[in-house]
Amino acid sequence: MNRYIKLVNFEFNRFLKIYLVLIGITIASQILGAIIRSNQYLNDMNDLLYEQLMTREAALEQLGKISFYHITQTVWFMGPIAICIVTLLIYMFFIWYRDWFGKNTFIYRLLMLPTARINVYFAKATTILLMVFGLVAIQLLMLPVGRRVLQWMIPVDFRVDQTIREILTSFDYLMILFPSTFYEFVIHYAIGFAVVLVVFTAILFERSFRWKGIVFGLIFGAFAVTIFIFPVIVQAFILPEFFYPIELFALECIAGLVVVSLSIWTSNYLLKKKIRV
Amino acid sequence: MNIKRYWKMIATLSVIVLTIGTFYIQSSFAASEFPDITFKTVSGSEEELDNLTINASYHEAELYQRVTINRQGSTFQEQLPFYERFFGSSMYPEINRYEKDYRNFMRGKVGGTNLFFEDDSVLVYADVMYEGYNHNTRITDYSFNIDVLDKQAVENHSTELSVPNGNDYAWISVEDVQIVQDKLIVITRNQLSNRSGDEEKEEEVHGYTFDLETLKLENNQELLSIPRGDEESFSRLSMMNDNLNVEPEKYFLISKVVMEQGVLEESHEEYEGTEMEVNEAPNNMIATEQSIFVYDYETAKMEELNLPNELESLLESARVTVQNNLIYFMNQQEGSLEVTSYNIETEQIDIEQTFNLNRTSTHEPFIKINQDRLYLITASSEDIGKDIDVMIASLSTGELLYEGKIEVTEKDNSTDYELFINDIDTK
Repeated sequence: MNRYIKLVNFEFNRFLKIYLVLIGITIASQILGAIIRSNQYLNDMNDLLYEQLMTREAALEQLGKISFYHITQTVWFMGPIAICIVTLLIYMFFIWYRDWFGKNTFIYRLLMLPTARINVYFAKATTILLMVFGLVAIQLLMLPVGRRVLQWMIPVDFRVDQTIREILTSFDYLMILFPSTFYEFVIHYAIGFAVVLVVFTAILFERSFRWKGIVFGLIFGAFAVTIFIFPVIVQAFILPEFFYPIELFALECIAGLVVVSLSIWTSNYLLKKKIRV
Repeated sequence: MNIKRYWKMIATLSVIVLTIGTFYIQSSFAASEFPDITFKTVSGSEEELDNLTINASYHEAELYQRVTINRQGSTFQEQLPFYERFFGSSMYPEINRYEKDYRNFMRGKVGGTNLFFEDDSVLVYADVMYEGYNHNTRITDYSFNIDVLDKQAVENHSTELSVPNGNDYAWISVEDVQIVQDKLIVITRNQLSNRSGDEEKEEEVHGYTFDLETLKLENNQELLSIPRGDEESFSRLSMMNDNLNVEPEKYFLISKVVMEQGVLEESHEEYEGTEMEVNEAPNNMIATEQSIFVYDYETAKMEELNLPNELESLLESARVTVQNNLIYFMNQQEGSLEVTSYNIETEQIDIEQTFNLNRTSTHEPFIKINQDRLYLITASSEDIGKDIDVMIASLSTGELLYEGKIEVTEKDNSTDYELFINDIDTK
């Protein structure tokens, strides 16, 4: 356990610089985005009121009130989220390959540690999970910040104030990151975590068998996906509507557990017996 | 363990737990901040509300929520247990009950209450499935999918058999399922396809009779048909029975309307040369013939009703609904609703009542008849989504048994909401 925590801490600190940059980009871009979008709205409104000499009612009729929804629609808001997602996706691979292709083959030392090798695998997976949750938390904190910026810049008669919940429900993509209940939150991120474990196993296949390993890895991935969607396939094509929703949910949970166990078991085996340095 | 070495990770972890934790704890509190929606009694007995459930949509700012309202109070969709909300449940309460009581029997059965029949001893499901085009026989096939559950023995027997002349049809839909003694009757609407070679007919209504024991098809009866429409005239059928009713019924009623090109007005030149969609009734199509056909399940006979003149004239404007051997004509006048019922068996007018709506302009009211009760939900057309009245009256005496309003109590006292009724259920 102690070893594992040390390994997580080590992996975490190794990525910390880039991670802080990601956080910095997110904060800066989203605040800037709120300012720019609010400014743009003010300009448009001023134009209607003072250039085109519309009444306030007519101008509001035409332009509408501004809400945080308008800010979430901008590239300033969505851009950093996309950058964070892509960076972490790349890092999911890089977290392994840097140990082989770094200055000195660091993997050699990692695998020689006086602890079960699977701990390395768990530590890397935990790190990814920690990073994901960290960014999710930052994003959650940024929503009230951005909203406050909007409130500072726009007079109350021209804006619609939304609660955090309303901001989230008004925008589908955010609902994936922050589903409305904690159960769904657990389900979304459990699936994400399972994907990380499957990808890690595929990487270990490649690291064990090189070119041939890529094929093995892809087969393993396809196999994992098949297991996971198997209950849904049965429900859709083989026994139409046979299972009740709660049963299908239970079956999906079992299928997910099978995929995760299979990944861990395979990775353990590969790390112990087949891995090449 | 040296805390100093781990402080960055611990800090990150704390931020995560605090932020996400707080967010979801707040969310769970937010669910209890939905408004309370209740019936506010103006007069009458509150017990009349016991059978009434209103399904509505609640809208406030960016929030859209489905909500059910009954005597006990309101339940918003988000207040349901997670698993029910996550997957939703059937929109028919009756089917939800079947799924609870006859769990295994209900597996694989999708569709509405029109596919079910229930009495004390059996629960029957009958549907027509599209089996697709068979490339070998070059035939489009439909099959009956029938499943009968004996409630006492908890045994079911089922069958799948081809629909006769399935190739002639473009679509078949089941309208009603009934049991009369030892016969199972399935009423369907069959849309003729171009393959049928029948240039005359557009649609047929069929009564298929099966033996309840063997589930063999014994009789295929064409009850009614309408000719193919064209630019001059077309006919339309509509099934009048309440398709939410799964209980035994004696009659199946079909209304038939023939629309014909009326006297063309001066602007008729515009229409010439342009092709008109048959399904879209152009403004100058008028109903030239309206009739009601009654199918008696027991005698297996189809007859056209001979309505008294005063009711015949109501056919066009009134809403019509059927319950047992009574046909109700509900005619909305300014500020009132006239209900006239006609007894199919005695061929007499049964009751004539007028109910005061207490307001002159309303949206189309929601009306539901259950046994002797008339349920009436009217919403103001001025104060949209806010001012909703509930009335329950006795049809036989015309007496107003309950009168009330739907009251929304917002937790934050805002009045920035709208409530729209989707349907009402009186089970």
